Amino acid sequence: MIGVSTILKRDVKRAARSGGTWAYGLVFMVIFLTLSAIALDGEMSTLRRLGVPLIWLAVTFATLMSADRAFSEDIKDGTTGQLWLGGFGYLEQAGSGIFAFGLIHLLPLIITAPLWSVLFDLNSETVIGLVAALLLAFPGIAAFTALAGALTGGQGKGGFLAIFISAPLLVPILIFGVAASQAYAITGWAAVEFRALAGLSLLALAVSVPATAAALAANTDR
Amino acid sequence: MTGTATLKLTDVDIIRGHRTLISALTLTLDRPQLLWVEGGNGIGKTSLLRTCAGLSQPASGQVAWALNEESCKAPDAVAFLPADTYNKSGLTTLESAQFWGADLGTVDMESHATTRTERLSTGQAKRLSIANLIAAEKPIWILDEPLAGLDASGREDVTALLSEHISNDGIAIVASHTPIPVANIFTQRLTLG
Repeated sequence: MIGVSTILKRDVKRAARSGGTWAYGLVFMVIFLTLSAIALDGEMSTLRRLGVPLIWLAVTFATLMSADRAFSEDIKDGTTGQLWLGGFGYLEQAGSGIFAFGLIHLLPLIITAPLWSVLFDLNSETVIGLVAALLLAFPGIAAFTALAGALTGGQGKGGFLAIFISAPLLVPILIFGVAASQAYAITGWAAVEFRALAGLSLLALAVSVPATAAALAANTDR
Repeated sequence: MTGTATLKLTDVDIIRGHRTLISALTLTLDRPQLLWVEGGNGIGKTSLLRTCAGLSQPASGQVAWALNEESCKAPDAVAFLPADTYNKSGLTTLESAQFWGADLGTVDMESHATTRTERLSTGQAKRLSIANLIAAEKPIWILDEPLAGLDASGREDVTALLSEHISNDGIAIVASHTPIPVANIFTQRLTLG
């Protein structure tokens, strides 16, 4: 019987054997942040001020670049329909697909964020706030980006379209994400921005899971 | 297998783009049999099969599935073998089979257990898909070009599997350019075009 864990195991195993294609986002993030630090002339006070927003931008861009990897292969080769016939419905496929996408394409960016924060000389409290905010935003970013991937998965070249669809959806998460990362150093865990971010993530999941399921069903009917 | 199945199409129209591929097709399959669907390229065989499998909705008309005379949904009754492989690259043959709960022994593929699926030949990939079809244990098999890419022994194996499936009260809908050489099996022929 196919379940969420079967899908996760399959996707993680395939990513690990893909010759590093899962790491495109990570490589982009490193290059983007390094070039940003160089472009800002290595001026420490500027780097410290812009470090958090730049890391958030890098995470967002890097995830968007992978948007067309969510669901598109399963839709194109007919796996989505086969899973549905095998009793693994579109809603379950949406949930497990979003989680697998986040795990493979987004989590490595979040885990390595403290490493890149060295470039910007961020203090430890800011780094804790940054990672906590990124983790809270994880479901939201993964859900909206994977939704765009599912919507455009049936297209030949859906990559750009997926970016255009998901970018506006990610703006509120980006705004509150940066605010929460910076608020931790001042108000700690009680910062209202963390609650707003968690709320946005839950909202993203509530909207994206059924919408992704509908997109998968529509893309299977061809 | 889980009981006797019925597939009923009522006034089904299938339209792709601006082309009407199938118009007002009414068909009832309510006893073990083979339905051979034939017709030229692009005539609508695959679209009809996908509609019978519940993967595509007809433009109008109804498709209904039943198990033991009780109405059910397509996933309860149907297993579908597409013309193209859906095996994932990066997995071994055994891992792919395990993902779908299939047994490589049913299609004589144990010796390729450790081979990556992307290195399988067309015929071997087809065999792997057939193993998934068998493992699904559904009474209605819908097969799109099941003999394409198979060698003589592969074709014999598929024919034998089809015969066995229908003998066990199953229904099979097969789109093929060549007749399926099953013996002592009730066969209907649907020519599109």
